[in-house]
Amino acid sequence: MKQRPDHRVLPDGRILLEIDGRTTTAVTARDGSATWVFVDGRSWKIDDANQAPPRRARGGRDDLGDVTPPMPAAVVRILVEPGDAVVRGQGLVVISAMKMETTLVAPHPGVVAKIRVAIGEKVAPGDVLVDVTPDEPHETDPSEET
Amino acid sequence: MKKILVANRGEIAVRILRTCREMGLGTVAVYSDADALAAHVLAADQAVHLGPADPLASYLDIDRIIHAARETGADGIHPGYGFLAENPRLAEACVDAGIVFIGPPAQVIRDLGDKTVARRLMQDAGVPVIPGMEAPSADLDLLGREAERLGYPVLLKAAGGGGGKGMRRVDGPADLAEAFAAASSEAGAAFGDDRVFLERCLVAPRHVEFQILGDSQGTVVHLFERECSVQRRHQKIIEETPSPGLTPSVRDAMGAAAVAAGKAAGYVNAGTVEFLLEEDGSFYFLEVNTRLQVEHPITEETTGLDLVRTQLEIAAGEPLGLSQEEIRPRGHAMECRIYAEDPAAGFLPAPGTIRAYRRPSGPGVRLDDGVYEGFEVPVEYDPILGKLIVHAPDREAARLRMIRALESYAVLGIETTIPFLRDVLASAPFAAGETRTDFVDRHFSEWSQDPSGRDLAIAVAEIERSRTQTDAEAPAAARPTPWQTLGPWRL
Repeated sequence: MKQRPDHRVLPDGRILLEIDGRTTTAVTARDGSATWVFVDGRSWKIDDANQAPPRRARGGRDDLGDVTPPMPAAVVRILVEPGDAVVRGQGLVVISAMKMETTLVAPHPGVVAKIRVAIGEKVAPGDVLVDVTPDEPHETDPSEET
Repeated sequence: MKKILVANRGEIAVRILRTCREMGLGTVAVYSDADALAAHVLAADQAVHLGPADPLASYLDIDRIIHAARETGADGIHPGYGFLAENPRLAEACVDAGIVFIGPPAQVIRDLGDKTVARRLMQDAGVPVIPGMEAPSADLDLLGREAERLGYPVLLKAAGGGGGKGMRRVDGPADLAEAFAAASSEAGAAFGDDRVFLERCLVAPRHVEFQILGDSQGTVVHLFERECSVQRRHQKIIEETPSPGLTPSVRDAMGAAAVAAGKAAGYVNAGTVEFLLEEDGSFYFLEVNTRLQVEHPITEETTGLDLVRTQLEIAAGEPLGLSQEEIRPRGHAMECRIYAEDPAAGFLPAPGTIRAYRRPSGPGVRLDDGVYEGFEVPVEYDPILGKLIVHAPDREAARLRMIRALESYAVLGIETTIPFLRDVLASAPFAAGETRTDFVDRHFSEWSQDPSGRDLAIAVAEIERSRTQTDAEAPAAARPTPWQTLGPWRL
């Protein structure tokens, strides 16, 4: 969409839009560095910065390879001990939020170096729960790769 | 009864309080630290603080709840669903305190609440049951042997309660240990009882349940069925009535079995008998839920009854005043459960602040919600925001009405399951009524938002950003002050 559609703001803050001869209303709300938009029956979260990328699936790991929870949660089970060798995708810690359990997994094959949490502890996104020392690529036995 | 305390939170507490108010009863809400300004607190005449957000220290604390009732002079307690609704010790504590418990007697809750005892009771009453274990166990070896006897796949289930909590499907012996650990842990957290047992896992049946009502004079009737096959991780997400999978003769047989189950248990007040239905019309007893179900509104829409009102009347000792022949449902009703979960990210819970909130409305559209704009959805509880219910003359009209209602329901600031539900409702298998318990796995195992509306949303976001920028951050040059525009002057 190259051109901004014709619009006006309604008394209750909604935005009235005209696009290709049809009118529709949108509801918006600011949220930190993003804008939420509800228009044509669907809602969207549009980040200020680049507006483009679709949401990445969250799965308890980020690009840095940290074992961190995707939402505030509590630790309910620890599945490994320091010294355990793990494969990528192997369950390390089980956390619970809103009565639902999620397993955080090893982002790469390696050895569990340190477990930084205890059962019952409250954790938040950004907290690193388990340190896994990654295997050097040439040390990994190809027959063990999953 | 003059004053009712609702021992629950969120949408169900709001809904129950509404009926109490209509009946001219005084109302008391209870709340934890996370719910001080929650909708259910605002909906009651009085509110009593229970404790910290952790349910064990608040909504599950029987002593504190009884104390709250005594303190406010409430003479009746409604437990809602979940929390203590199926805990016989709350029912007993009410009796001891001289407070009316809005539900069945403690012994009935106890009998039917233990899922293995319930199975035995049903077998004795001639109601067909699913092959399974007769008693729960924490012995992994025993569970393994039972699983072999029943034949994989098997289902690990909590003995202490339903609603999908503490339930895990096990496809083979290698998965049993971890499934057992997960199921017991979840069951312990949800019901304060971590015992589990095994049942054979039927392959892709329909989940069909019957609402029953029993009065203190021994009359038991059914209010027909609800089809609840569209589930995710054993939790219902869409329910409808009537079921597209029932013929009149199967309906009659299941209804009769539901009434037989109620009578066998000596059931009083509202309850639900759940069955699994196979293609050939054979059905098996699953469990009785000794409480008001989440999805009760669709039965209310088709029968015209207020089930909470009926519960209060039964609890006050009134006879049902309804015969089975007089119960004749009209039209078709559907319900979508609205969860604060991200359907594009594995349905991870999405707590946070609701920054904009617009409710759908119109004829045949009902929203039972427990949130409002600005409310911060807590992490500690089940992430249900509310239920969207529609009623229409037939199934297709109801389906289209639900789609329109979902498309009019704006919840901004948190991710919700609304777009996922809309796509399910619009899908061909749903339109055809082909709903089995494997529906989501089969047709919606990988879902993502249809990207076609994104460009417009980006344009709107830009309009919104520049609008607020103009108001708030205008550089000095854009809005000159009088000091800049005032020309030369002298006194």
